[in-house]
Amino acid sequence: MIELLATVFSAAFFLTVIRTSTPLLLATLGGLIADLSGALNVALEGIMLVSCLTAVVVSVYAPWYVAVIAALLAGAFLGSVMAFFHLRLKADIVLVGFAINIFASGATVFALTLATGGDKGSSTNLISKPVPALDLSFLGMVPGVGGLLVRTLSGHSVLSWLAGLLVFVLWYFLYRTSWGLQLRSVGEHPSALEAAGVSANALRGWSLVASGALAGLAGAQLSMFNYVGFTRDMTAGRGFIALGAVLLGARHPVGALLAALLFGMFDALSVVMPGLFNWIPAELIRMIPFVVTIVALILFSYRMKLTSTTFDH
Amino acid sequence: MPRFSVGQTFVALFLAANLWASAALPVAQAADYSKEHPLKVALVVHGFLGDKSFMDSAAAGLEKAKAELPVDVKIIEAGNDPSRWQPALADATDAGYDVVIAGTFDMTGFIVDLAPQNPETKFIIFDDAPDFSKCSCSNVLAIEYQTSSAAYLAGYAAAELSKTGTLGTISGMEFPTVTNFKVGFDEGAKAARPDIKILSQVAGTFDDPAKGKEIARAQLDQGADVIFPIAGATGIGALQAVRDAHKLAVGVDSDQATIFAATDQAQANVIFTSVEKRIGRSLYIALKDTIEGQAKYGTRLLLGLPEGAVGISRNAYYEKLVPAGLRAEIDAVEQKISKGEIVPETLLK
Repeated sequence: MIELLATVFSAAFFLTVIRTSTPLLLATLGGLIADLSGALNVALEGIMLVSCLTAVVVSVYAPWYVAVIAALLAGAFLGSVMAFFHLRLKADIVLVGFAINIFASGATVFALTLATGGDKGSSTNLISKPVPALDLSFLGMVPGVGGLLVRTLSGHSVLSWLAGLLVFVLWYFLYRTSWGLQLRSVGEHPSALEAAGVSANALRGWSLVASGALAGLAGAQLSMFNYVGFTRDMTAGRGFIALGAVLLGARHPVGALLAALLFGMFDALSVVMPGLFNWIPAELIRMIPFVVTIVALILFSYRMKLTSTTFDH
Repeated sequence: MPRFSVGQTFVALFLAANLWASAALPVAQAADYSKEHPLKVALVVHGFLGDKSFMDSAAAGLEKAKAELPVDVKIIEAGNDPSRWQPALADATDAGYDVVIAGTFDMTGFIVDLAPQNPETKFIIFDDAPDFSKCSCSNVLAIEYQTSSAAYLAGYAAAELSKTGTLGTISGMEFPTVTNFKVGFDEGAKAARPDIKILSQVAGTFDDPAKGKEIARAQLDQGADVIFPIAGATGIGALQAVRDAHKLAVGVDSDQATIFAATDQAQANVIFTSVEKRIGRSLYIALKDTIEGQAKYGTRLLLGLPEGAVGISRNAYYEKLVPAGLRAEIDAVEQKISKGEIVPETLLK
């Protein structure tokens, strides 16, 4: 038990949690912005996957930041495709989303074949670049806590810092600007917004584009930091976990951050535990993130029930 | 009392005639295949070629068979959608191939269903076996691989090469075909160093390189300095973690150091050997036996070190990273296994 505590409170564990949480957080923010506008983005998974491959292929030929921007644009493009089919052609958003997921799984394999010259499984013969880790070793000069600061704050992906910043930006946008208010209203009551002379479709369209762009960043983090390279279906369900995290985070940016960190932490825990406790069956350890999710959702809905009864009286 | 219409009688007669014809055909053809009259073989890949492992190895073996034996080969890629696998296999069976080949437990059930309906077709399933006592599969040849014996050699070498006395294994999922590698690896490591510590983890997925990398990082943090991932793309992530930490790794299924060598020298430099499951070699053997009438359809063929169907990669990286003394020791152990003096533990009996 002491070994576990020593591990959990180590700087390496903290780095792992941030690393595994970052793609989830970016995708969750993407899911959040679409969900608030009233268009559930079930295509996060597929958009991430396309962006993973875009980032890897572009980084072979261009600097890392160009690859990240390309991944972001690829995500935004798929978001606009969703907006076109859903808002202009009136297709069901869930069907459009699943169509994109299925397209992404097949198209990435096809594009991978073209990019690698015949490899359909992974990009191991492409030399792709990583997103750099931010080196903050100058913090070591801070008296007293300098060493601790360097160990916990230095070495995170640039995109992790960006994701943290985006939580604040999104919160400010949603709750402190009139556009944010409109975006939240369009999800709750679009006709009220139309009556006020604001186009609900335009707002939803832009939020889908933003949602795609955020999922694109998530893909870049996954294929340029967590693992450097692309393998078939490498997103492995993270887009769907992000959808769950939107709800677990009570549809709020800070909630999204906490939910992503929760998933990341228990993922990291399930990674370190087998080495420390070899008597616990591996299946039980792998269940931890899912059990935690269910417990968290139960607690969340219990709290909602409490608050709604208070309002009734 | 059943009464038959004229139509039903015709159908019955027609079926009977077909049955007679199909029963008679193999007798007429079994002996002589030639370049003009080749054995027609179809490989149904559930997925795509280009996995640099299983399927590519199978395809390479069939190419070799095509070049050296009177065999005509067609490779059908059924894609990643599991709902298309059964139709692809059924189509290949209907298309009149003499031998239809598929691999792994994903396809076994389909073959068990198709085999009794198509007695004139021969089926080869590799890396899994149906329960022959329960299915009427007299036209099915199952090939399994005694991977634990090759993994025993890799485990032996890993334990000798480890400086920390700690190894790590990462399984994709707990199937006998996956776990059998680990069983042999663990036993070999303990044979070399009884005090060896082995960290083991099941990733639960074959498709998540980011997770594989995290698991390998955790094992390296916990003191492991040789990692053996048996987990497909998840394992490729683990290899990257080993590369970044400049420790050692054992590849799996195919010679992974050689695959990485062309583009990623740093990655190849840490993979001192791979435990190879030589699917291609085994299919070549099976087709050769089929042509010569030696293949025992209706049974399982368990291939191991003596047949060369499994083994460890002895490439430039092996020469460079494993000292000569240890290489000789491993050769001696391999001799003993082949002669039956050492019988590694196995899940496949």
